[in-house]
Amino acid sequence: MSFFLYFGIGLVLPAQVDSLSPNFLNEVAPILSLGGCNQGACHGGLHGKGGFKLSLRGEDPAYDYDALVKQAGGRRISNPIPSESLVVQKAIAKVPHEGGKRFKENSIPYTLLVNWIAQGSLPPKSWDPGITSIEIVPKEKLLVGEEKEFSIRVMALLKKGGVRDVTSLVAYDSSDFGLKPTLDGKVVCDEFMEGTLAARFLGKQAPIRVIRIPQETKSLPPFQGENFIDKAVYQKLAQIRIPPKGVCSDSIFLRRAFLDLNGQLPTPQEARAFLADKTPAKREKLVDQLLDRAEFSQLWAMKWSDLLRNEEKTLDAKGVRLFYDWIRRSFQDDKPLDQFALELLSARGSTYSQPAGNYYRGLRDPETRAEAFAQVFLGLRIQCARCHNHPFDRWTQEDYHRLASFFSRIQYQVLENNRRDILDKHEFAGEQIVWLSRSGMTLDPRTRQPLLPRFPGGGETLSGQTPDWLLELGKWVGKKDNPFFAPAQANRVWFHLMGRGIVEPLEDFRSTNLPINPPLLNALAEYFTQKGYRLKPLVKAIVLSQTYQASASAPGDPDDFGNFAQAKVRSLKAEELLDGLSRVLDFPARFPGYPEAERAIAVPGTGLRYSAATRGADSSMAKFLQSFGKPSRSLTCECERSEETTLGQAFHMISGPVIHEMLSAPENRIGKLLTSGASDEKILKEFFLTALCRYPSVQEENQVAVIIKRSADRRHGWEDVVWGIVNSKEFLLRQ
Amino acid sequence: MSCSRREVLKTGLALSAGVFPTGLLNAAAAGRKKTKTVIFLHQWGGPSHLDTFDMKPLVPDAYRSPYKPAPSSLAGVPICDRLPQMAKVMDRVTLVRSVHHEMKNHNSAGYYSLSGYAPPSDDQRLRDSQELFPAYGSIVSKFSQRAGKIPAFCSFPHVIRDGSITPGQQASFLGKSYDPFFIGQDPNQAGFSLPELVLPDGVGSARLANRREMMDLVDRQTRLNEVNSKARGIGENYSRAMEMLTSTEIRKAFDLSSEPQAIRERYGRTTYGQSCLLARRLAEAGASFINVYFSPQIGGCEGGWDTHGFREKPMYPIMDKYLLPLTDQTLPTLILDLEDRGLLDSTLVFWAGEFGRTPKINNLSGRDHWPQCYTVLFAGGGIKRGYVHGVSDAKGAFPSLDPVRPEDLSATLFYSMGIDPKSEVRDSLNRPLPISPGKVIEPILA
Repeated sequence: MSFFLYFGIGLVLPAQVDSLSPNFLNEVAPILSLGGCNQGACHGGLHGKGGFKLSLRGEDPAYDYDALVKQAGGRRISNPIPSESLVVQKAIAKVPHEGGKRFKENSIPYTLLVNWIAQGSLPPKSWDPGITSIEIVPKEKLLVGEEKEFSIRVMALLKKGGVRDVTSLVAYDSSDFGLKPTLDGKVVCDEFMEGTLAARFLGKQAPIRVIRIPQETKSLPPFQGENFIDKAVYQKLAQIRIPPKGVCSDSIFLRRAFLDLNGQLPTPQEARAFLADKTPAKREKLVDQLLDRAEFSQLWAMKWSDLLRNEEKTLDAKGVRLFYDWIRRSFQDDKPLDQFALELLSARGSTYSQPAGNYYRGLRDPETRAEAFAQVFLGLRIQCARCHNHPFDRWTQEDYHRLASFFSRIQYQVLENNRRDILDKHEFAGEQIVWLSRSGMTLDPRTRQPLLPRFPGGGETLSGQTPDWLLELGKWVGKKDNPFFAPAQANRVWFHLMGRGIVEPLEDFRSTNLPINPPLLNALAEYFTQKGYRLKPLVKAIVLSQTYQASASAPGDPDDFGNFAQAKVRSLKAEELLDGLSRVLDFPARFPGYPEAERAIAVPGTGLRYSAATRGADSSMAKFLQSFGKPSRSLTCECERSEETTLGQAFHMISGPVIHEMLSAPENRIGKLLTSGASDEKILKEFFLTALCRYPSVQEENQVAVIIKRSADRRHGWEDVVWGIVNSKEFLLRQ
Repeated sequence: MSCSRREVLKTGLALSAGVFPTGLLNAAAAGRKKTKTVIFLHQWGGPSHLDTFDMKPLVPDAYRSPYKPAPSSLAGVPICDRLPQMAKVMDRVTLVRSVHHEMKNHNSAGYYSLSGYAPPSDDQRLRDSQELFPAYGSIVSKFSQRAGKIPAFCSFPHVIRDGSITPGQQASFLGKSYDPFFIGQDPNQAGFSLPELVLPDGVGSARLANRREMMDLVDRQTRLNEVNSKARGIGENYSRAMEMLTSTEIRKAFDLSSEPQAIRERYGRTTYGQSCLLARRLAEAGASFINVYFSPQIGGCEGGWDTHGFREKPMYPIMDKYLLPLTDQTLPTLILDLEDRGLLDSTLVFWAGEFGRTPKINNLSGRDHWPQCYTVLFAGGGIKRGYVHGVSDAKGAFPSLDPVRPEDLSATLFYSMGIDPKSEVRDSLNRPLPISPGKVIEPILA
């Protein structure tokens, strides 16, 4: 979710602002945020603007005080004539200001600034703002029909007790253009939407969720049923008055289940058998079968190999295979995910004999390790806090570096390195030992003091005597007092099955990025915890819900604002597409460097070439997979896998070598069927069943007959028909 | 769907227009010449400024180029006497002689030169990942409004690397749809054609029509095109690809054999020469940003400009026989050819490498990496004709007047194309970043 800043230009005078004797910390510092002065694009950037630098989003008011009052020879402040001060003149654009007019003359911020200067531009008595948190009232707002506007209040809870109304001093970040704060605590919502508005004041944040729905929608009847997922989804849909779509057809379900659980399409026989099955429990039966297949663990090993940077350059070919096998076996055994995390975090020794250690082999410094850990296992993007406090969340620089400190003692013994490019320090080929040194801590970037590790989210700080910090971190992952793990993992599984997270983006849990349906996320996280953090029960529960089995949206369906009333249509992933072509044509694909892999989802690494020694171009297979979004695994982020559709992809399918080779191979499914003497009707059914999981319509049968008849060569005619099938949207998309 | 609205927000395009002041650009850009197409001739390896466009004849022997400065068509601006054709067109160009940065390694400096963003570290083998900034052309294809059959951003004929692939040649976090249309074939080869635009063996237009008919038949059954934006997006790309495959306009743009023999010879029958010719044809056909890479390798006897003078690769013999003649044949030819066709006012040729070379000649009679001061060249578009910006010191070691950083070059390029350098994009962490953190070099604007 994107956030952008709103500037309050010219507010009316509020109740609880002392405009006569303003305090720098409580009144002046907030207006630097309110005016947008300290954002990254302006004076908050690394180098400031026009020689004037403020701390990013006001994270360091003492620094900002110096910048305003002392730097530049004090020329920004004029005590004799406060309104002539450069900072005031710039803010109201009386003198040229690249950032334009920030405040109106005589507005509250203007008055505050001028009065503060008039009284000597003094620093505050203490740099502690004395607030514990801020709160927005209300926390949630539903607007119906033409109702577009409502009032909010923002309260700061004071350490000494009591509250202070700071409504007119907060800055806002909004998730949508249609959602805007206006004068003195009013919010306007222009569109039918669901979004978040976050208020920000002296380093504290508080969000409010706003939904606006059209009047004409009718209320829904109460939920009937047992399923906890459907119930949570329905209750939210009832709130926005959008009924869930009905359950999809057997054909759609069959294709969905095969792709989502095995990354593969069914054979014609499997499709025929499922469609012919008349027993009521056939969907559950199919799900159980698919969960038990090797392809299930291969698919999840591929997803986790993306996240754990399983790539050839750093891990080398042997390491990639070993790490992949370890990951795949973990999913095959349905190893509890907290155990999986513990084994990765506590891995030591040779990365060849202890494959889990490849996790560290790919993450060469404490900061990268901490960022990867937080993102993969906790769903947190803490990267911002490496250099400054997180602008949209509570993470401070200290939190960041205390997390990094857990990882500060990892060392490598490089037994051999036969890198092909001696200048490339990212390349490793050969055995390495991961070991822990006895000393080492990260330093606070400001004070340069060593920082002991602390569990994220205000947990315990470990002592220097604790023998193995990472073991403690590994054990903490699955503990009850870790509030991050279960929701983050439940959200990830949900994303992979539903095409959209309950928190979006997937790995960006924060106080200002609310889940679209908190009870649903809680219920899933609780279920996942109850089932011992195992993947299969959670996957099964989701796939058997009506929510998963809902149809995709049709023309005229109302917008559900991403609340899972309808199924999301997505493109096939690169590997699914290639394996799909291979399945349809019954012709094995080959993967350079991985002769053992029969399917693209079972390729352990990226298959990319990368170094001077292999300067030759990537194989056409690797280019195909990359073009359709297979990541190079150089980041720890689901976002590295591209879901975009591009011109290059169209060329791969129209004139590229990969599909042509499969289509024209004499011994492929076309060849086999023609040799067997099958009729055109029979051939068409076989292809439709495996590619689209349905039988052809009468119209399709008739037209295909025309195309085959028209073709000079029957085989060529079939190649063209199959090309048409595998380039239809129905094939390229998962509905 | 609300997700699509969020996707729009993610781009940051609307953001910069809606929330941030953009008046500066419109006010200042009024009445200025505008660049429609940039041809970026990227000089991989790092050309010596001291042996080309910033001669220092008065320095001691240990520093001095064996070449002499020779007068050019731009009064008072002599250039290397081994560039006689170039000397004739100097009145059409702007030199910036005070470019500087801190990156001493090819990949980090190369990325800087291709993206206008300083790399996080001066890493010999900076990794090409989505954390790094996109190529200029990717930014331009995102922000420019031009839409034609020719892809907005084209690059050829090499992928440059020094060991690992140099970042800054792709769209990175902007997404694959802004990647360049890359041509890996050698335009100097007989029968040069694009594999994308050639149907597989045995698939003629009749069979292509059958294929489309079958695809459309299935698409009509599901009506996904009507319902789903993803399906429409795929459909649009297929139509575009089919159009390119069958369009005579596209075919012609890429058909170098239709070019008069004399012109092909003027550019030189080299990969680089014919690439420059191809660039002109694509500019004519409506491409917005074209990256032509001089060489896939940093150095060598027929590689890039990395002239340390290592054994068997002596600097000055390579300059004499290869680097300077190649430059003198192609660069002025391209500028004059654009001018002859009336394209120079709308087409900006940008000639730059990743750094310059050491003022002092090393003990191998070569010069090493020198990012502290070097020269880049502009010709055409919205940039002045016959102008020098910035001055280097007596030895060409540091800027002594008007220092310029690579991000100022990117700001100037974007600005001259009518794109506000302050426009924002969002990286993979959703951080707002200006497309250029630099300042427009106003004195060189035409």
